[in-house]
Amino acid sequence: MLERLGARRVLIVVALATAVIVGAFSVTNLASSTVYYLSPSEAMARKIPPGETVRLGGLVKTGSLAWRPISFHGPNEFEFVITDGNVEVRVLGRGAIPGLLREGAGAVVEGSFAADGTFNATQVIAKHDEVYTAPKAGQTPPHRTSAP
Amino acid sequence: MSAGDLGAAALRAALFLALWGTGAAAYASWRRDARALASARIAAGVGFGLVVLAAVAMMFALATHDFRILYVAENNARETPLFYSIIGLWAALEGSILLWTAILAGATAYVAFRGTAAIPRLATTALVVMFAMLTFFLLLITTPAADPFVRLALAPDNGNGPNALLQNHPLMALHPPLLYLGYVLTSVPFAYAIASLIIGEGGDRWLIATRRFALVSWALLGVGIVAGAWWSYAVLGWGGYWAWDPVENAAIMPWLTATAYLHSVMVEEKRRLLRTWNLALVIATFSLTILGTFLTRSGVVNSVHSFTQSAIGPLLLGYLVTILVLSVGLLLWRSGRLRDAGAVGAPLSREAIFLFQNVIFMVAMLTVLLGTLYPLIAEAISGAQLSIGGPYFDRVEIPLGLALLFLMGVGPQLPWHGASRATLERQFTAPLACAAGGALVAVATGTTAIGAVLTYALAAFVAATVVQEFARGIRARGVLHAEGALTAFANLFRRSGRRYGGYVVHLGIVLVALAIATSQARTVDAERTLAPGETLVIAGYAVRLDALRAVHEPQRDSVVADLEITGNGASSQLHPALVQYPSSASAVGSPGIGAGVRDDLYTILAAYDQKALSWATIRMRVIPLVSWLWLGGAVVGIGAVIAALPAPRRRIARQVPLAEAPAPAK
Amino acid sequence: MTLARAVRIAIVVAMLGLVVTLALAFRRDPHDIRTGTIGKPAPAFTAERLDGGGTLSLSDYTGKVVVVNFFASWCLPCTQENPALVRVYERYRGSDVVMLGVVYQESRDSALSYVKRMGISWPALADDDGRVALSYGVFGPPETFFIGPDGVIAGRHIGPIDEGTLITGIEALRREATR
Repeated sequence: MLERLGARRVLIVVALATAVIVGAFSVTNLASSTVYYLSPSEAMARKIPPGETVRLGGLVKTGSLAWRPISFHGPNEFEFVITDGNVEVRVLGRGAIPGLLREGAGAVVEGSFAADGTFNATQVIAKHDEVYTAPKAGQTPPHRTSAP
Repeated sequence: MSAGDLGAAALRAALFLALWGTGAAAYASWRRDARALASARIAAGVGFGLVVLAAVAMMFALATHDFRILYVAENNARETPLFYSIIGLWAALEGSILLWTAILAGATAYVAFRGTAAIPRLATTALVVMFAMLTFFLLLITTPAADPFVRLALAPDNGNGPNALLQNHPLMALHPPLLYLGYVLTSVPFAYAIASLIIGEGGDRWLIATRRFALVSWALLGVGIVAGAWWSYAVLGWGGYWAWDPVENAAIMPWLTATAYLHSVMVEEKRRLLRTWNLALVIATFSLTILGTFLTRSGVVNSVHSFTQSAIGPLLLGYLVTILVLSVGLLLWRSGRLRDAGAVGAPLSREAIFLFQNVIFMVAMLTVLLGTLYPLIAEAISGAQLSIGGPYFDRVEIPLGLALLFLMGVGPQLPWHGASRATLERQFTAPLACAAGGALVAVATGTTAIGAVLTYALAAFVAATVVQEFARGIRARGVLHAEGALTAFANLFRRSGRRYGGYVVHLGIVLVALAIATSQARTVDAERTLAPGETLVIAGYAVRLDALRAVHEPQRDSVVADLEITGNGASSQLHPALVQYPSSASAVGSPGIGAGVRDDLYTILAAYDQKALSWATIRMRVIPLVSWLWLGGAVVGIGAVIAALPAPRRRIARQVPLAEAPAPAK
Repeated sequence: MTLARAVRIAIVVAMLGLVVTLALAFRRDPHDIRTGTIGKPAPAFTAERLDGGGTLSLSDYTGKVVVVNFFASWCLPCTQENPALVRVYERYRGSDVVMLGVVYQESRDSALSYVKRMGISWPALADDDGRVALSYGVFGPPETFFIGPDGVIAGRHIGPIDEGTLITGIEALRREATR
């Protein structure tokens, strides 16, 4: 009986310890993995420090999208302006842009601000809202491209 | 009468039958009335037929491009090939709810006919629960927000066509139905569990009766998840297969609790322990499927997906709340009757490892849930919009996965009640040596990431325990029944399918773990702009752009890059493309994938010269062992089939008790 | 027993928290990337009429209730909501309520044939470079904006709109104007 009680206690302690350790670990990680999702106006108002990873959501300004295969043997560069109607942010990135990114359409870019106020994108996520559709049946995963 | 009218009428008639069936089954359960039960059975059977009729009517409308129906006009075009027209049934919200409802109606009919024949009282009460759920879905599908048969006042000449991403790959035919089957079939164990709580039966009969359903729904969910990862890999063109997107998390969470349940069920069967816990797991699994549906269909989660706010959100939330309140309430109310027969034994016993494994599965589920809901919680509290990146999930779930991999090797090797020192030595000497070998292989092949090295070691450990079990089983049969090795091997599956099928599942998981670890740790990629004739070199492969050409098909226009890839003893031609559908304003990529046992060559046409086709930007990724992931998924499925097939002896025993079986002895 | 009670309470609290979080989530609009147009002065625009009847400016209608509807012929929900727009337009014809349609990302020719086919008799405006849609932060058609007599955007409706919503929105603004 005593031995049984001991075994049970060991199990409960081990289980609780696991739960607590993982819980604490995940909560700390949650904080460090948080990426704020802001409009250009909010980013401006909050004075996001250069280097902090954020997501900017807005519309790609018409006529601003440029894509340059600068060197035939190196990665390409692109730039466009993302806007919410009030504030415009110049976005720079390397790599190919996703096919769904279009002028006048919604886009979300992930990256960080440089000291001069331009935005270095590490990931461009186009919102493919160009056709009004009902929510897809849970099978429309993300369209993302990562700049190397 | 058009197909659309027929489908709409069938759904409304089915709703009436489901309401009737709920009442009749409730009366049959309360008064033990055979005539009411017969009536409920007819309602279930005819109702199932009607919902299937509605689904077929929708497929017919899609195949015949009947644009008078809004759903068809939005998700189909004249140019859509027949195959993609038909699978358009699950291309969008309304159609997929119709498919969901059809599966649920089928499960209801199964419980009505097969279930109530075996154990009348419990199954009749479970039938009430099934009918109630079916009624909800039929109500949902006949409200304007989710009605697939809504008409357009003026039919357009042509429809928009399916979402470009959903008509690009045949896997779309497989992955959503598998997932839906998995999701919906979790409702059967749930209904039995609730029935058992309602009638206050303290025993394990609900669990025995639905064991196979739980296994099958778990397997379908798992295979559906792998098929979804494969689709994502083959279609989306970013070279990955898992992104911790809310939609993916919604699928993995019930799978985690269902896996925990499949193991803790054995503890209840063998030792009559964990009764409350098993009920809680079944309720959690089912509730998570509804939570996942809510998250992905109502538009509350900030996903990259094009979610539109949908009016069915509040209805689904109401459904979820009802289920949570009723089931948790019942569980708390009845928990006094659910006494365990004894306590868990030594820490080194099989039941203790299962218990610990259950804790880790629950923690894994809760951390995924936290990461998925955290943006909602943060916004509710502070108003800030944020997202949780993949790094959170990777850092939390990978260690948990490794721990589970370890326990997967340990658990089956330990006897029930507790192990002696001699047993431990006998069971673990060889596997531990193999684990060291696995780590050496990882280091020797140039893997340095600690997580990957550990995965190799644990994979070798688990594989060795499985091989050891099979070897001992074959030897034992050889001695006892004088069978040859091959006959003995086959008989292990036939006679103890559950046990040895389970080992096959474990082998499948090992393959999946190896594939994930290797592909995550050792993928290389490069991107170059090439003129025809030029070459890009990456990881020993030379990629030459042979030609760039435009291709016209009725439903789409594409630009295709012809690539010639040589190196590492292989030579292949790949054809990544950018595809333009008329309904979509921009082109979607179609990667060219050269699958291999060792490396997958993943090529993407990222951009091209639109004027003269004189250059193309090619991205190439070399992804090692990723095809083992799909193979592992298939092995898991095969193992589950072996485990689910009835053993020959049991099949005979099953035909005898048509009357209610006595409750198990206390 | 106290442990069991604590577990019960914890379960109930956790469930409650989950449900409240999910319910609160309805308040947000996943489409809103915070262009923040509601409550702000409606962006001014001048655009050409599709039927060749010259240009038209939003500022021409200061002091009136203006309904701006973004549409396209390729957009099926637009087709769906069109009868409601037609009925509401007829209801307020000749009053202080103005309805304007703005074409969203479509050629003038195909938009014009749609306008004729659907019986749209209110002014339909071209927006070739998408500037108007951009300034209103339109995600995709159909979207409908309610602009008050003071020139401030009072409401925005994403997706197909129905007659009731249109009339409620318009009447609220008319009451405000007469007060």
